Amino acid sequence: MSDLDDGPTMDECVLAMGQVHSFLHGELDEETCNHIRQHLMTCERCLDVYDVESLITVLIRRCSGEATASISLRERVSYLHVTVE
Amino acid sequence: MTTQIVEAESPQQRAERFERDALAFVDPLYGAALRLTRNPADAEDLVQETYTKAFAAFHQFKPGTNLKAWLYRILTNTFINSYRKAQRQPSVSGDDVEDWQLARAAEHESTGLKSAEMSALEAMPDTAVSDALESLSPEFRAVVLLSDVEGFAYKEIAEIMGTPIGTVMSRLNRARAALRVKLADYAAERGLGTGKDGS
Repeated sequence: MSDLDDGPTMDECVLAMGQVHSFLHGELDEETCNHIRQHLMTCERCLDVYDVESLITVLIRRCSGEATASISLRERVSYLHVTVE
Repeated sequence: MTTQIVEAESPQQRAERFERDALAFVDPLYGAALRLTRNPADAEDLVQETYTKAFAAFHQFKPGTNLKAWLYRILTNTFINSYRKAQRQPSVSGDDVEDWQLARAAEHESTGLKSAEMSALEAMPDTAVSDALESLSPEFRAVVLLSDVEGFAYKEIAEIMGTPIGTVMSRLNRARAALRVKLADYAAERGLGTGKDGS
């Protein structure tokens, strides 16, 4: 598992995983994304990190369902110009 | 040109413009408030305070710029300030703490037991994730919710939180590292993912 001659270098991992959140959040340009995708295809460790990070995003979204404001709140914020001098 | 229009507008016209434009965001703002406060009564108060402040400052809002981000900025700042007041905590952003948590995250990183971590995460109940989010400092919680749930770009989050983009990115990194440690602790306490599911 360690020190494969033709495996990705540590620098490549640091570079790719340093941007894992930006990658996940769609903040990178297409060229950089392709670099990271290529790296993920050759590096199992980084792919594991990526999998965990994307699953954490899924979990965060899952526990944060949609919410609807109550009618009373809607009314309270609708008549501000009457109450605020 | 638009600024002139805004300056020429009567209070009544401004109120109508506020009603027309800002009130469309009540539901998303209430959802964001609920996730930040985790309590419907507090969330309603937070939204009402946000709209009161937004209405009072609406003449400062430049038409054509990002109204949603502007409202989220007021909401986020109001939440962070009232959280600090309630907790009587000094105004520490959390940017400089949790080194031990980062060290522990790195430890997790090196164990190489990713399949165990993955199955533990997959078995994670929503309440554990919500609790882990609640344990973060308000700045960290806000940055995670703004990016992962509200879907704001880093540039918009920087605007909302009034920080440079670099701070947004480092807060996100640290917040998520802390979350990962919390979730791993939860899994370890309950034996999630440690079964014979190595497959």
